[in-house]
Amino acid sequence: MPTFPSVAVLGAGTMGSGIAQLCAQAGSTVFLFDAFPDALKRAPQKIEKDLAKGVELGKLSKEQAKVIVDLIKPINLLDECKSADLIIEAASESLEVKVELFSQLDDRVGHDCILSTNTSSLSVTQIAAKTKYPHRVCGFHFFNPATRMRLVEVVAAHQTDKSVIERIVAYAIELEKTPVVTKDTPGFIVNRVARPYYGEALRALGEGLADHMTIDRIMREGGGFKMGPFELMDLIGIDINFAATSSVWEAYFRDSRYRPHLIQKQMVDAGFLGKKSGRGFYDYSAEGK
Amino acid sequence: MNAELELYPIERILFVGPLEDVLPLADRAKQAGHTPTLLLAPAEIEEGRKRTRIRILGENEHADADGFDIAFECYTTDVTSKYEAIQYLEDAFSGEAPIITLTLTSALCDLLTDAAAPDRFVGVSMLPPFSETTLAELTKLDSTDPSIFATVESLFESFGLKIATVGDAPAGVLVRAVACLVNESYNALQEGVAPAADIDTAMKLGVNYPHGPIAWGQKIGLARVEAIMDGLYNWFHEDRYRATPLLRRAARM
Ligand SMILES: NC(=O)c1ccc[n+]([C@@H]2O[C@H](COP(=O)([O-])OP(=O)(O)OC[C@H]3O[C@@H](n4cnc5c(N)ncnc54)[C@H](O)[C@@H]3O)[C@@H](O)[C@H]2O)c1
Repeated sequence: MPTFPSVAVLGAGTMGSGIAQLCAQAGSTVFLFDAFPDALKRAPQKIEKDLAKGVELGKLSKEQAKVIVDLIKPINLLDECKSADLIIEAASESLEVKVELFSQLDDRVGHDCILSTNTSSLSVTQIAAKTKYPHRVCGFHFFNPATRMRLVEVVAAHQTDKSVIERIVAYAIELEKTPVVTKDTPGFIVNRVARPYYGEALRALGEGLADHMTIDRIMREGGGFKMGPFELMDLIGIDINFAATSSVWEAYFRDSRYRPHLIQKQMVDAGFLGKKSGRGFYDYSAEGK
Repeated sequence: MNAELELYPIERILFVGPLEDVLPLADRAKQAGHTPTLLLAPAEIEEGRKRTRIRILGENEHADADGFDIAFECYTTDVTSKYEAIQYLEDAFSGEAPIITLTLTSALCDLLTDAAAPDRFVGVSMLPPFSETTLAELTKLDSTDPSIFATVESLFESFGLKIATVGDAPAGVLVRAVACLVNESYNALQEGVAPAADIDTAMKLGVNYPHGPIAWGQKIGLARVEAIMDGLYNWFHEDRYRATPLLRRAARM
């Protein structure tokens, strides 16, 4: 029996669908909720496709895949998840959205139910403070793609009970993840410690020390990084990366250590968002290839 | 590389700097078939002779351009020795033999403000420890002699290193970024965000870094990371490059 037999995932986008799949793979019943019916329709299809790939590769049987799919129950009303033992909120990155969802659940779910959020950049402490029982709120931060990336950050807000963290850590292990517990500080561990990788590369580019291709090559060939900072920003999305930097910078009272770079903003302004828009620091259009 | 440039000889190389840093570089030179010689601080000569059979100049021996084709100055944390070594090499190496200087803590132009012939210098930034270095970032000034630069490129290639040419700033591109990553990981550690081992795990699994930044700092040498941060701070005068107090303390232990 998993630590949380019944889980509700709120938000069925990129992260939510992956997280729902993981929880079902661990044997939990998963209520999947999204405010937009389209997303709710797409997520199970995406999960089925991913599992089918697993079947093809011999990682699991057809029957096992079916069991997993059947454990995922798309729901149209938030009320339908009130029996859940764990809420994993993975809706859009907005304080209002997250607070609104949690406040709707405050008195509907059981007292022992944990409210966790997959937020990358918001303060979990701030979200918790807006709920009725802040001690049961924590961060449960997965990485993209959630089904493949081994790390999860378990974020202890100022108000979080120790036992809440312990149970989330235990569940993360059941999800076959490597959990690390982190204090609720801007960017937690990864999104904060990684800032200089992008920031210094952007500054080196801005200072004219080298072009972006040379900088990428230096980082790969000299540093052993799998991807150079500019390739990586293109993959993540320059807008997403810029937003992450801006949010850590703002949250640390504009400490110059995290200051975003004008180059990023101009790329975003121009709509050059990276791979997804066909053009970022590199050209991904047909002619660019 | 310009094929028409005439290169200087690179066979007899004089390495000047701390034993720990010059030894792996001299080993590479030897493997590449060159003839390295070390010029160490007097206090390190004895230890050096115990650790290597590569020739080490005695306390009263002098380096001169007749004996060497090229010199490589490798101080990082010890700024006083660095300036002294640069001046010594300029005086001892009359003529035009190339001099390479490590630019981990200063920009090349900063090191050469008092140089009589800055055109014979090439700056290099490489990620320590030098036994594991895979790439050299070379820096020239506008006035750098192209033949000298091409000579230094060929030397680093002979060491089996990849080469990049970058503009002039302390710590080039890679070392600057890695030092800032290490510094930021100490900053997180100082705030109690997570224990050191968890920070390293998170960075390896969350963003595929080749090493956890805390362990990486120890590998590079914390005193050196601190010196690089201070070098960046002195160059940019920006708060962004302030070394984390916990890093400073750890570097002294
Ligand atoms: N994408 C990543 O790389 C990544 C990584 C880690 C964490 N996160 C975090 O995960 C969360 C989700 O990100 P994503 O990339 O999956 O975004 P997404 O846009 O793919 O998915 C968000 C989903 O939330 C739904 N939604 C919006 N408002 C809602 C509401 N009020 N109730 C229910 N559903 C609602 C949207 O319809 C959408 O399907 C964000 O907090 C984000 O910061 C993202």
